[in-house]
Amino acid sequence: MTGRTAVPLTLPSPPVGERDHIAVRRPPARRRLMPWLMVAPMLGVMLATTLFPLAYSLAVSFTRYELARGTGWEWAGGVNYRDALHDPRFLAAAVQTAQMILPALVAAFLVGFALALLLNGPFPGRALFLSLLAVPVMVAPTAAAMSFALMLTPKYGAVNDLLSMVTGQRVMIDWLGSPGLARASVAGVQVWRWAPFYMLILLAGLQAIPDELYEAGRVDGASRRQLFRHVTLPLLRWPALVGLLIGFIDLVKLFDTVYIMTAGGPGGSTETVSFYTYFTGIRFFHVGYGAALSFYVLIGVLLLCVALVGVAARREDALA
Amino acid sequence: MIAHTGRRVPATARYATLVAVTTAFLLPTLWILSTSVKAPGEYFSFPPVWIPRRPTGEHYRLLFGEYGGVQYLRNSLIISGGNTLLVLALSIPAAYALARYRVGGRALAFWILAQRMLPPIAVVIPLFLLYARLGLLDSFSGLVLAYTIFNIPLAVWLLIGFFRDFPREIQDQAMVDGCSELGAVVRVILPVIAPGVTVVALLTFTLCWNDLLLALTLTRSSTRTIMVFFTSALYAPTDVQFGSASASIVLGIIPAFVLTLCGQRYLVRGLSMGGVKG
Repeated sequence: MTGRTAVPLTLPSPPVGERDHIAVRRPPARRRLMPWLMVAPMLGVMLATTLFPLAYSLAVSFTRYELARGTGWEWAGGVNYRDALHDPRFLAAAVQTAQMILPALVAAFLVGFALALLLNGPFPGRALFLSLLAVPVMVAPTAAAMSFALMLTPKYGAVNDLLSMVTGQRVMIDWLGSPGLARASVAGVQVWRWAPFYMLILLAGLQAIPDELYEAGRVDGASRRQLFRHVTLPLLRWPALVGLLIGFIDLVKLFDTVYIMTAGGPGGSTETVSFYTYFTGIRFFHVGYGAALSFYVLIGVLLLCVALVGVAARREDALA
Repeated sequence: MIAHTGRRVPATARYATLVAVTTAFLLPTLWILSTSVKAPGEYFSFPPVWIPRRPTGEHYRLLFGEYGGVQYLRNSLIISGGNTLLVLALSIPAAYALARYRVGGRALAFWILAQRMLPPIAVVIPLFLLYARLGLLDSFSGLVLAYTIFNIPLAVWLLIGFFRDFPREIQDQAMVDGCSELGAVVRVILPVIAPGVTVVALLTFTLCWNDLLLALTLTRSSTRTIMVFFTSALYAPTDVQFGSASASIVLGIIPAFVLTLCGQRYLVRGLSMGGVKG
């Protein structure tokens, strides 16, 4: 897209006087200033609510600031950052976050892809199914976690009751009572939430594939399976990559589900990095140390963001 | 478009699968809906009751009466509504300038994207400290402002797309006809992109409404939102509160349903930050 500034320069200039010429080349100050004036209020708010707090937090992370003990801005150098690397609970939280979100991402992606294929193409009732299936994406994670917690109650919950009906014997699994099952349950809620997201973006990707490509393939004698392998899959690569990165970035921040369903338990086995950082910084008032932990999370997310921008840029190149 | 992909799915198999999957995905919502109208004897019955025999509105009555649910709903509405208005007021002019003049270039674009992805935990600690110092803890203005961190980038990103999609020639024509630039935006462009702006507003509102982490940290008794109320109900689940907690969850997920049923078309763009066109 060409900017407005290009317009005066590319106009074929009629023979004009010196003054007119200058006026054409340089738009009046008011016009050049106006775009900045429109962006200024937003920039002001972003500076005040994000950049300044982040800078403040960076400063705090190099101090021994503790709200409970009244230690103020005592310079600590990189101690907090070094301690974090030897903090078994933080390291465990990082591993557990990965243990929960990576399988959840893969499962959500596969379920979402299957649903997208099922919903691709016109048939009566398609719009209704699509709308109903899309709901979990926007349901408050807190509300979803509460619903799942109720459904997973060993005695009164829906899940064990359903399993009992299917297997024909009383199933009494304590889903949130053991580390492995608790992690699986938290991951399960993420699959429920993210599968519809992948359904939506992969369906959009499927619909964007031009019909001509399939027709050309058929003329060349390709089978349905070959069309799927050599036309559909390669063209879904970019939406899939962008979607997976976005899901990854979002799930690294996992907090609400754990807070509600397990409170990090049993025995800290479902603590995520965000959860542990929240408790360290806000609940136990180790603000200096908590700030340092939050910067490790921030750096991780930022790296993923750079990857996302890289992927998006390469996609534009590929399409050009 | 015809289904080109994979083997042709027989109609009955397709419907059977879709009905089963849709039911499974809606099950948590249906379960909570059913729990919210069960009599106390029924939600602690074994084996569980799926469809209450005599539905009761008792939990909703208690929620709005004794438990002060109205107050939490009102707080959530004030914070989410206030934030939506503020975000739109700041984002519409900014997005127009970014789309038309590319103010700030790539650097500003990356900043906006990165801020959208920012882990909330990274801002929660400094906001907590700064708000405590400025007396903004437990204030509506503090919360309305805090949610701009994540909602401004989202709104700006989506609105840029809408402004870019608007044909430039129509705007130029209006300006040749004597419209000022501001007039052209307000009277020509905004009415056309109004559906998109509405969805941005709904999305902003819902994300604000759904948040737990910031609300948990920055609210106290007088601004407590409905999401924070859930958690307090959770830690004291006496049998009566169990039903009322479910009732409050039902109210808590209404925005999600409104948004998905009205703006599903734009959800893809919104959720993928325009990375995937919907």
